[in-house]
Amino acid sequence: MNKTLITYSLLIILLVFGFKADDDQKVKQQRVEVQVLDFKENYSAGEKIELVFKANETIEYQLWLKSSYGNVLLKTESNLQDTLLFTVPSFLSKKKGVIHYNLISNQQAFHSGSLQISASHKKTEPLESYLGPTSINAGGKDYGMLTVLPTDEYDNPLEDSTLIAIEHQFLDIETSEELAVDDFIAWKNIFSYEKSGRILVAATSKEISSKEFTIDVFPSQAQNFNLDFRREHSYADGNQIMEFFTSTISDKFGNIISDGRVVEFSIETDTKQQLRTTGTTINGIARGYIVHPNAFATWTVQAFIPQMAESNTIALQFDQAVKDYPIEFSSDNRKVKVGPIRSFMNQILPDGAAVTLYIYKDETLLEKIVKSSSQGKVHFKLSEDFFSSDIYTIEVISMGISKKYDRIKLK
Amino acid sequence: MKKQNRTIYRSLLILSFIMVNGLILFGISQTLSFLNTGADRSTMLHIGLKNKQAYIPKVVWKDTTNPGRSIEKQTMSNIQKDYVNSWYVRNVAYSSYDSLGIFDFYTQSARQNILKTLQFNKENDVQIVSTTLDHNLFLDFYSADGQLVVFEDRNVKMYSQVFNENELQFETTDLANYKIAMLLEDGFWRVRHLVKQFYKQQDTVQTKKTSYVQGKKILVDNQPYPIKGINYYPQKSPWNMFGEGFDESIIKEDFDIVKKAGLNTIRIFIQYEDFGKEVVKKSKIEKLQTVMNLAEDAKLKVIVTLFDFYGDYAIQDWTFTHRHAEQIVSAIKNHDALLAWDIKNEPNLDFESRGKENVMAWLKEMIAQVKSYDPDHLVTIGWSDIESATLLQEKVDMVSFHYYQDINDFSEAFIVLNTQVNKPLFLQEFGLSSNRGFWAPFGASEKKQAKYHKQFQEIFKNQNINYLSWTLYDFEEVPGTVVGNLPWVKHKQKYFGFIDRGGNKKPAFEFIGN
Repeated sequence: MNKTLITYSLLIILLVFGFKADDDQKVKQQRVEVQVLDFKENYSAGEKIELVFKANETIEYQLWLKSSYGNVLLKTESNLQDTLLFTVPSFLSKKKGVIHYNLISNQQAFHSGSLQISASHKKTEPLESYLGPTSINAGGKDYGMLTVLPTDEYDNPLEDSTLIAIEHQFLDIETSEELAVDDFIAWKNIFSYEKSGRILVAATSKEISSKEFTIDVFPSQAQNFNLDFRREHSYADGNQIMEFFTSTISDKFGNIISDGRVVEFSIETDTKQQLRTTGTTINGIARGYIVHPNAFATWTVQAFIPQMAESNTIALQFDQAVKDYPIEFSSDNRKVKVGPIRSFMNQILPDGAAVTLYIYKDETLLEKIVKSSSQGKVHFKLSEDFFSSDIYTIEVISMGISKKYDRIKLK
Repeated sequence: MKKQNRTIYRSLLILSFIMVNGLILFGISQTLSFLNTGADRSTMLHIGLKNKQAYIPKVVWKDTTNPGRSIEKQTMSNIQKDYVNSWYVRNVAYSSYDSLGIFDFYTQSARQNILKTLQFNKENDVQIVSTTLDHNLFLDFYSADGQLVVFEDRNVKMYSQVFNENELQFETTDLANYKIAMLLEDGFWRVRHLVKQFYKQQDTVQTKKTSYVQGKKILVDNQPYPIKGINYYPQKSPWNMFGEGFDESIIKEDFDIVKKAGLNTIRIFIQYEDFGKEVVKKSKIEKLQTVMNLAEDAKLKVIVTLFDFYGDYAIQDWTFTHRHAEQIVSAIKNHDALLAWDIKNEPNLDFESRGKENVMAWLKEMIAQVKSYDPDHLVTIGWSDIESATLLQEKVDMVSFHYYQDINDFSEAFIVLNTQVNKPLFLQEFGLSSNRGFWAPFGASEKKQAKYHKQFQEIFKNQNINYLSWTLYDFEEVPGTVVGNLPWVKHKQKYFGFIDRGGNKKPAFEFIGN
């Protein structure tokens, strides 16, 4: 009986107090008044920030801080009954921007507000700057942009309207312009001048400077140029190499175009063939080389920098170097000796001239044999295995001279 | 006997031979497949990595004029992608202490700020689960060489939950403005500076008060509109209305039956995954529009229940669901047949498994999202019981609940609810399964079902209650995902209809409406 009584009374007590505790809390939540005790709203980065609140109820509070890079939850530090002290961690108080805070307890916010932290006045050296593009063309249309993204000692972007001087030097020109930081940055477009060369760029702000930057100003587009040539003689000997060369190519401001520009020399022969040679410029001059033709020819030559500039057109003529050459057939006509081929001074033609032999049977080409000359001579052997004994037409062509023999009987 | 033994030995021998061979083959194949595992060669190119966005908050470029250089569409999309990723990796870092992604999307000096905060939170055992929802970008500067960009991000909407020692401390949805500088490094746009700006409370845009509610009445075209209707699935494709078996003619016939029975409203369900999650399939939208057109032809209004079978609610998943809702809502918000958006069917059933805070926060934000896309239609939530109906009542336009408990307790419970809520009340689901049979020897007969509906109709008549019954048809198949795989539960779910499997009207059909 006693036991039961105790159990029941315990249960009742538990129930009553259980509910009561709950009720208490509810009442508390409604009555809490939070006062902000003496702290300002604007700080400079790096300053110690302590937030003090006064609450008329001592329940456990936490402070939720929402900053630029993330949120943290702080516990109160004060031991005093109704004063709540929170110290903003230094990694937050060093960062520029707004910090929003909520004083919370038991999933409820009791007070909220915000602080503003501005950048410190001490800047970091060098001033963080970016330059691009760093290669531009001469002539004043093209430009490189220097963007200065200056920061304070805590890596915060500086406040708007901080003055930044952007300076640049080119030849004997030195200029400086003062600009105000806006949206974190100060920037300036540095335009090229008429001369090619290098522009040095830097930014400073009250004794603090950036690194030195360089803009390479390259010559602008090439202008049209002149074409000329040089050759040892005018004979079509198929051996000598002739040279085409350009005048000094420059842009419209007189800057010699950059070395290495490819120039194409385009040749049109009198037989409407296209020949081509290329060269790259050194000090504005490009040279192209080509071997003489081996027969009389007239060439029309023009040079181009594709899509950009072209030269005048020149015409040149090549004279016949070889007037004639002997051909000797063996007794069975199966060996054909061509030569000696003699050039314009009766000298033996240098080795390597092409001699072509065509064999026709009843107007149809049976075989074309190409050999190069050696000591001015070429020997052809017409084997029985390929050409049975019969009557053929044989033609020999070399150095623009064609010799045809009808009705040659191969034995 | 001996002979028999020999046969046994022989077969054992053969069997073990086969088994040993099988094992050897299995071993070889395992070794080979092990040697083939590891990094896929294509991953060297980082192609797959970049394609899928880890979350998709709504990002709008509001202004791109800037003094530096006009910005290209491609660059804008690259910046936007990497900027959103920078928020994502930051959210991941603060919720899981995993800072790996920070290195990709913040420059070396900027990432220190996050790492320090992260370290502090780790020491204090604080985790922050958050997601941003809206970004509005205003370009301030884009440099001539295309390597530096400064922009503002205004009205960044962010939802966060703060946990200390795994206990929820606080949750908020807040708005903030940021100014951001990003640099192009190694092909990534990386955050160089991020500065939270002073946030001026914008003049809150008053969402147009829907003209559909007046006190406790629902209005359509300025006329009181008592909802009398039914939850609809075609007989052959319950819980898969927009799937392969989609048949316009069947739906049309069904709508005629519903209309002729004197009802004016149907409720249909949009399955989240089936519709394509964050990238809603065009074909599904077309089918949905067809259904809406058919409803309009039959002069029925439609309540569209979103997010059927959705059950994640994870904060990381929010933006995907927002994009889903945006597409569905935008597609049919101007349709004349549309009556209301039902955010989610019976979300309170997920409280236990997903956490009440998560579900409630998701719902609250989803209501805001749906209203932002369509401020003109009613929004409601289909709570599974009358006790939950008061939840979020201040956010919805009408309070919906389901009732499958004892019919005799309904009136009383309804009166109680009516005093707690001063918005239109709406019994969104009720019904009785006529499932008497093998699996339910004491289940209700078709007669009892008819009696049940008769009784409910009388209550509705007396108290002017908006209602939708469950459901038009008895079903042949109920997917396991709906009620689980227990045969007696599945069986019950098949017999709630007013029309049986043979297409005959059950006695209850007489009391489908009043």
